[in-house]
This record gives sequence, C-alpha cells and structure tokens, in this order.
Amino acid sequence: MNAPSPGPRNSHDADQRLADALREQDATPAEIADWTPVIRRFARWPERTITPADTNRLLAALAPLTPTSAPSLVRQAVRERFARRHGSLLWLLDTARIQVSVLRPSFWLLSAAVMALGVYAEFVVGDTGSVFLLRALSPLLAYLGITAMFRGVRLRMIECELGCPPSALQLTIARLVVVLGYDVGLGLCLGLALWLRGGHGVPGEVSFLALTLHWLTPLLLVAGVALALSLRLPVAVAAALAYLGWLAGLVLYYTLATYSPAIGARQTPAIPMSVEIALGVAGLTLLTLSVWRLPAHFTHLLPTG
Amino acid sequence: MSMERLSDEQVLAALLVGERDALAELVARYQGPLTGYLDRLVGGDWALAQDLVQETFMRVLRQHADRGARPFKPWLYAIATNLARDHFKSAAVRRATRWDDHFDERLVDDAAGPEDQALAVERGADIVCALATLGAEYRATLALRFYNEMSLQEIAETLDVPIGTVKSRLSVGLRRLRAAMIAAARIEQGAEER
Repeated sequence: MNAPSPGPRNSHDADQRLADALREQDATPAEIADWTPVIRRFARWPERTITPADTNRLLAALAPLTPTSAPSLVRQAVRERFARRHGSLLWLLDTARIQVSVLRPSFWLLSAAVMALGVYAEFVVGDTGSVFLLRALSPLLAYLGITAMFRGVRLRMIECELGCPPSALQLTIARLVVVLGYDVGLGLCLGLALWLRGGHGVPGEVSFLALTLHWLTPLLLVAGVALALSLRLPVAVAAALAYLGWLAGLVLYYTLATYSPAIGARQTPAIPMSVEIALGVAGLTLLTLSVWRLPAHFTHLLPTG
Repeated sequence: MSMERLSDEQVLAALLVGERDALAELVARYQGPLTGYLDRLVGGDWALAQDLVQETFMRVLRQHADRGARPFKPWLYAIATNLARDHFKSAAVRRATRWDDHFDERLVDDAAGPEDQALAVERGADIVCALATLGAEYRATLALRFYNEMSLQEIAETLDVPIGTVKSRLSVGLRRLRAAMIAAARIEQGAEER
C-alpha cells in the first residue's frame, strides 16, 4: 500500500488512508494519533516548482548521452541491401519467406493436426455434431497462429524484430499472410476433401462454399478479435480470450437452439449462411483495422522488467 | 508514438532503442518528484538537489545495464539516494562537513529574533529544521514514504534493506520528528513569552 501524501487534504478519506498507512507499519492507535499531525506538517516543506527552463536545461545536459537511432555500419549495409529491392514483389515475397523460418515446426504440425481432427470429425462423428466440431476447431488455428506470430514477445526478442529493416507494419502483414494463408489453405483442403467425399456428414449443407464457410468464418473472426484485443492485452491472453469467447458463444447458441421449438422442429441448429458471411466479414474488418493500428502499439509488447 | 500509457520500464526500453520522446517522458514523470525528494534529503538546497537530479539521470543513461530485473522506480531513487550520500562523503573530505551538518549550516541561525523565527515557521523552515535533527537514513525513509508515496516494498527495494527495517525507521523517524517539533514549539513559545 502506498502512503498518502501529507498534502493539504483534509477529507475523512485522506485521514483514513493515512491511518491505514501507519497501521501498515505496525503503529498503535496512540502512535497514529500522535504522528498524524506530524505527517501533515510535511506539507509545510518550502516547496519550489520546476520551471520549463529547468526542464530544458536538464534535457540539454542529457541529450549527448541519449542513445540515438543512428545506424551502425553493419545496419547501414543491411539497409542498403534491402533498399535496392524495397517495394518490389520479390522483396515482399522474400520478407514473407523469412517469416516462415521464424515460425517453429510445432506450429505447422499442430495446425495440420487440427485440420486432420476436422476431417476426422466430419468422417466419423457425422450429423450435426461435425459442424459444431468444425466451428469449434477452426478458431484453434487462429489461436495458434496469433500466438506464433508474436512469439518474439514471449522470447523477449521484440526489440530485435523492431530493429529489422522491414517496418513493424510490413512485418505484421508478412506474418499474417503466412500464418493465415497456411490456415486458409488448410481450410480449403478440408473443404475440398469433404466435398469430394460428398458431404454426407453435413446434412443440408453439402456445398464446398458451405463447408469452407464453416471452417473459415470462425477462424477469421477469432483471429480478428484476438488481434484487436492484443492492442490492449498481452497477446497470449488476447488470443485465449477470443477463442474461449467464441467457444462459449458457440456452446450457448447450440444449447439454446437445441431447446428452441422453432429450431428444434428442424432438428439442426444451423447458423444461417448470411450470418456466417457477416461474421467472416466482421473478422476480416477487425483484422485489417488491428493490423493498421498495431505498429503504434508495439511498445506495449516490449519487456517490462 | 504515445508514451503516456507506457510503464516506466517500457519508456526506458524505448529510450534505449533511440525513441526521441522517451527521454522527455521520463523527465516529465520524475524530474519533479525526484528533485523534491533530494531537496528533503539535502536540507532544502534546491540548486544542489537539481544538480543531483541531473547526475541521477546521467547514471540512468550510462548504467542502464546494471538495472537487471529491478523495477525502474526503486532503481532510480536508489541511484539518487546514493549520489546524495556520495556528495556529502566527498564534501566531508574536502570541507570536513558531515551530511547531517549541512542542514545546521544552512538553517540554524542563533542570531534570529522571535519575529524572524515566527516567519521561518510560517515559511516551513520549522519542518526543515526538525527533519535536520534526524539521521540521513530516517530522512530518506520518511521522504520516500510520505512525500513520494512509495509502498513499504518499494522503499525496501530502493534503500536495499528489509521491510522490517523500513517499518522501524519510519517509527523511529516519526517519533524523533515529533519530539523535535515539540521542542521547537517550546522554544518558540518561550521566545514569545520573553
């Protein structure tokens, strides 16, 4: 607990806080009564104020010691090398290719395993349960992708990443393209596999488009929400919140729908396709806005201690 | 880039990677509280307090690697406290004065009459004099607690002592401060009666 300033606060609250602070240092009631006026007298210290001239003088004295962003010779050489190709398609592809090497093999394997689980759900579980599982599993890819994208934060390497020639925005876009591109690719593979099989496990919604929507909409929405939340919260917390929020909403929807007379008659608690498309678009919009704003918030990802 | 919402540690990290606004932000956050703290520590010598603040920030920039995993605020105040102590140590060598004597030299004026003394009380010189009767470690602890509003844990980290020692210094310091104030008030009363 912080002690209250003995400034000219006469309110009951200030007295109470002061008493609490004194109790925290094991003062007896008699000592609290004796010492409270003493602490109040602290406010009578002949206070002087810092003038703007004082601040300017201090800043001027410190300026020569301030680390500058002037690049070293090695860094200049790297920049020149990048500058020659900067802006070209080849350079963008090269940046994305480098990001592929940043992601660990476990990300690729886990994502593929999640997709395989989706296939398994479709072929084995069947009926409406498979749609539920598709919608529950696909955002797991988003969770894995977003946490993998910001792996540098956990490893305390974010300063190094920010010091790279590509800007924070370019890095974010490159990683998002790689991670979501892989996830979308997996989703398309899944949709294709199910479509080729005939989609028997998805009653009434056997089209390739419908299967793809079941997979991609939750993925995009959770990725968008996770990225938006990561502007304020630690990345792992943001991704977990987004995924758990989606799961909770999904379970709630299915529970309500199962017991709803209107839907119960159809026996399949389905989310209308228009709603799925709207959710997907909302996810994409959130993704775009968050990516745009992320570079300005990168410093909150820097280590704190 | 907006710095206001960043923690001290994040602002320092930004400063060290060359972010221009970070130094101004750290100075805006700590120049006032740090000068006030050092002012209390060195007995109301405002110019000396400002010099020590400048030296403190210079140490922050030069020796940031020494901070390790310590939180920024206690580390900053620890540097300031050590600099104040070092200043008086070196001054003691040069001028044969002790840290605690510095107060007496500046504040105690036996030749002052009752009216001058009353004016000094009004201006707050009485609290400066009363604080001067305490040892440096008590002044630092009281100032950190009741001027800088630090928690017991932060004070312990700043002064590198156990929390029990912080509590003990606060209790002894407040007891002595109260006694000094009562004594000063009696002297003042006696002067008025004469």
